[in-house]
Amino acid sequence: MFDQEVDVHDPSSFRRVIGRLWYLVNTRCDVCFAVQFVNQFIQRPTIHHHHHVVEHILQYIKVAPAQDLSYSRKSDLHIKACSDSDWASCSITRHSTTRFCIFLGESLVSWKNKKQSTVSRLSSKAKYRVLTSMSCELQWLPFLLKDLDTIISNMTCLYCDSQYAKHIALNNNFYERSKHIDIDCHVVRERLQQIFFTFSLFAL
Amino acid sequence: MAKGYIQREDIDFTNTYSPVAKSTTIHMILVVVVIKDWYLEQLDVDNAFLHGASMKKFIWRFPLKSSMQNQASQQWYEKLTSYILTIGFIQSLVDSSLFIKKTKNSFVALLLYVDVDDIILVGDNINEIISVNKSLNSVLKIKDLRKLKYFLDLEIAGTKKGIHIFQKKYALETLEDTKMLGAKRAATPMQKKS
Repeated sequence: MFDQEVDVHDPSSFRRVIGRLWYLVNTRCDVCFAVQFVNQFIQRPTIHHHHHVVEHILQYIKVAPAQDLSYSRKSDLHIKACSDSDWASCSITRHSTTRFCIFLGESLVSWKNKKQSTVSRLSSKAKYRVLTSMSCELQWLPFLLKDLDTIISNMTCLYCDSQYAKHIALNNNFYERSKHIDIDCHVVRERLQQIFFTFSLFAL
Repeated sequence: MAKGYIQREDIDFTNTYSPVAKSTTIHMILVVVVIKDWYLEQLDVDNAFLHGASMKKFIWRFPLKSSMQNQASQQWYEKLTSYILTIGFIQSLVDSSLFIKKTKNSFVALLLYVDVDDIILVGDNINEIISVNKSLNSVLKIKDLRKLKYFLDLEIAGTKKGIHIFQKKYALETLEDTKMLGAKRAATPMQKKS
């Protein structure tokens, strides 16, 4: 698609910048999506499409290089997780995007903003995929807290904006139409049944 | 791999055996430390000693054969890990870079990454932390024990209300590297579709 574009003359330094930006995502979840987007093109970056995107990210970082994550003393120890998906958001491959962020009390501890590896024909499927990858992340956090001699005060709460995804997770019956998300279903449902977390809906 | 961005394949590594620095682990530890008002200390390990511990005279920073480098840091890591286990720590199952020592009235957690010259100690009992520092000092040359401020390019600043983690130095270095310090500013990380 980008063949007619001019290649970046020094791809290795381009890759190095992307590598540095990836590391910056450790405290900057706001650039996470942009960095992962441009990271897809490190094999053969072009000036127009990719170099300019990187420049734009750097210009954005320049606004507030000391942007921080704040962890408050007065926070409780309650894991909350919010999920979202952007269905078919990639204009080239039409893959959806997985997005979630996990809070411990008021403090943001984990996030992901990544293109899904396969195409989803239904938006609910994309949403459900997000729930699956989020629940995998959620599963090990209580173990880590336990290792840190800490007990979570309330049950993990999972926020999701899809009524449909919630129904699939809570409903034990499988329908033929939802067969294609069988595996993802089982992953989330199994954890729900083990009472790893509860479900909440965002106000729509 | 901690700070993986400075490494190049075949020169700096051929296979990765060492524990990956999980940013979630670091974030979680910091949150717990803040809420529980624990001590957060950093051990500054003398670099030359650290990498000379397992090989004779081995200077780490020079581009030697990757296999030798691998061996040295692996040997060092294994040696240190086994020592940490003998002084009462247990390796965490969820993150292999985390070690825990729990007694009746104290709790100490230790974070250890290969290729990084610092060891992080957190816990509720400063005496226990000091005694861990002392016993580590017998096998490592530790420069000093101090409050954690800079680790893996993360800057950590404590205030009355809590702590802040940021990467200002790292971000500015990135801008300088790319000669973007004088560039104009952008309000959003990505441009709108045009």
